[in-house]
Order: sequence, then C-alpha cells, then structure tokens
Amino acid sequence: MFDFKTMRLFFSLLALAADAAVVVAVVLAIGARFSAPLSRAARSLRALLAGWELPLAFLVATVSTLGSLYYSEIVNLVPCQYCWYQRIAMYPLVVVLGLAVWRRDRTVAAAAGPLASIGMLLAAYHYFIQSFPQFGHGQCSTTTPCNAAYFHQFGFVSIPYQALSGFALIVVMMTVARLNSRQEPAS
Amino acid sequence: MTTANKTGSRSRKTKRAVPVLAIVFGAIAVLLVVAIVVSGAGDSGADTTSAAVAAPVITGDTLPVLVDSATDPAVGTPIPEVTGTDYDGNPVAISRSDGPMAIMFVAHWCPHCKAEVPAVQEWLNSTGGVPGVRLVSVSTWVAPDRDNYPPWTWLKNEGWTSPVLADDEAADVMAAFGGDATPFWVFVDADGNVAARIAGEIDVASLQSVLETLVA
Repeated sequence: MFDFKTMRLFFSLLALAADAAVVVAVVLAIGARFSAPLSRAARSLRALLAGWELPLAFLVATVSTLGSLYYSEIVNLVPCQYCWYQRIAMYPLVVVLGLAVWRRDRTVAAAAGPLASIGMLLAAYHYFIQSFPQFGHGQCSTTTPCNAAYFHQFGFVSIPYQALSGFALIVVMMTVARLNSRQEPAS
Repeated sequence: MTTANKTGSRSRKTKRAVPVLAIVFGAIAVLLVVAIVVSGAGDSGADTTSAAVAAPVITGDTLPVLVDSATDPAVGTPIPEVTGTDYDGNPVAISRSDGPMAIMFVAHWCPHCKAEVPAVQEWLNSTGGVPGVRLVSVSTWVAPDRDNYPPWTWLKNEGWTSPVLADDEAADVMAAFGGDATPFWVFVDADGNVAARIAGEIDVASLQSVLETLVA
C-alpha cells in the first residue's frame, strides 16, 4: 500500500497542494495593492492563519524531512550533493519551528524565514539543472549526479521540486507570521 | 521579542471557529487516499525487466577505470569480448574481430544520454554513419525506480537503430570496459584494441572525426 509508487505520488500531490497555497498567497499579496476585494480577502486569510503560521510551517518542515528520509532510508535513493544542501536547510527547521510552536514564539520567523529562503533557492537551482542538464556536469557518474532525476511524477515533479514547494510554503508562512506579529497590538 | 509576539497567537486561537489544523490534516489524508487509489488502479503488474534476466558473458581482461582520456593506459590494449542479447532476446556480440567499432554505453535515467541518443540517431539518419565503422550500444545501470524506465521503451521511442546489448544488473559489461560515467564511448581500432575512451557527451562532429580516424 505504501510502496514507492504510492508515496512518491503522495508527496507530489502534497507539493502541488503547497504550490496552490503559495500561488494564492502571492496573488493576494500582489492583488491587495490594486484591488479592494483582494485586499479584504488577504486580510481575512491572514486573520484566519493568525496563530497557525508556525504549526503549519512546522508541519511542512516535518513532512518534508520525513519524505526526504523515506527516499534515502526506506527506498535507498542516494542523495546527491544539492540534496544534502537542501537537507541542511530543511532539517534544522523542524527543531527551530518545533521549539517556536512549543514556546509560541513568532519571532523565530526572523531566523526560519531566511533559512527556508536559502533552501528554496538551492532547490530552485537543483530543479533548474535537472530540467536543463546541459548546465550541469556533462556526464552521469555512479555517484548520484545532481542533474539526473530519480523520477518525474506527472512529467515534472521531481524530488527538488517537492523540496522547492515545501520551502516556498514555509517562507509564505513565516512572512504571514511576521506580518501578523507587526499588526497585533502590544499588551 | 514583544509580549504580543509570544502570546497573541494563543488568545486568537481560542476564539477561532475555523478548525484550520483539522482541515489541513483532512486534506493530507484525502491526498494520501487519492495516492493509494490512483497508484493501485494504475498498477497493471510489474513491468517485465529483461535487464533482470540479461546475462552477458564477458571474456578477456578488464580495462582499467577511465580517469583521463588524454592519458588513458587502456589505449592499445585489447578490448574484452562480450556475448549477450538485446531486450528482445536477439543475440548481440562485441568482438575484437568486429573492429573498427564504436561502443556507446548509455543509462536510461542519465540526462546526457537522453540528449546524446537522439543527436547520434539524427546524425546516423542523415549521414548513415562512417562506412566501415560499426556502432553498437550497451544499455547499462538499469534502475526500475529511476527516471525514463524502461530503457527498451526509451530507445524504441528514440528510433534507435544500432544494436543494443543489455548489461546485467551488476553492470558487469560497463565495469569490464572501465566505465564510471555515462555516456561512455569506447572506440576500437581494426585490430580490436582500444583506440580511445571518452566519458560524457560528445557532439556529432567530434564523433564523426574520431570514427574517421579509425578507418583512416
């Protein structure tokens, strides 16, 4: 039931769901500057998420980390160099965001946001060289080359794509957390 | 750090009517069910991997692993000989008596191989290759869990016309020729000795000039 085929589809669907959330956030963020209804929608969504930004970001980081470990430890897909760089960015987020949720401390967004942004850039570059391998090394070795994808679910979702989606959603959540922190009245 | 930052979220959370976390976990559960149903519905049985039963027979000395084409110690030494089959079970052999010859090792998941194969095939279609030089390919490092599997479908879709020798699961043919990266080219002279070995993509103009030196 939870074989590789099922799990990579599951993680790909989660990535697409994260993409949808990020697109909605970006559209609302931009549209709010030009449209009153979109501005109201953005405020409503921010209010809805207030208090949930950190738990949701923690959930995304945890699922991403578990997915990464599933690929390497259960299915035995060897992580490449850029996979490791992204792990370095993602794994600490589980601890950082977990502690922030525990302490209900939104100021952690100041640290988690940049970390997730770096991971997002690394994942974007990794996905780029997978999509355009001519920009990577000109050959594939037995040690996992960064520009060779293990799979392309739906023809385009690879492991760095999934990481990119996760990082992007964490960045969105951290941004919302900071905006909501600024707007809350000091008690 | 302000007090609002630390405590504001909790007070709001208690007033909220929308069960955000329940919705998120519900959505995740739905996606998991969709994944189970879809992957189960699309599972029409295991794809028969000819690679799993491919058993090429290799004779002769193994070539050293290629480190640098410019200082390759294998140049001038006899190639190993291989008898095996393609993915349809047809016999394919690599013999010293077949020289001059070019042997192209490819992996189905390798993006450079995916670029090289159609380029070479297009060159073959337009020029017919270099007269007197045989081109044979070896499908190696087959991995059912990796991209662009299976190799026989990939090569068929590319209209690949050169003979394909299926390497075994341990990639023994690749190892016998000292390959450590794909695409991997072994050029063989008329005496059955290594003329050159190159790892990585090469453009068709360079390929043609190398092949022409084999019959010069």
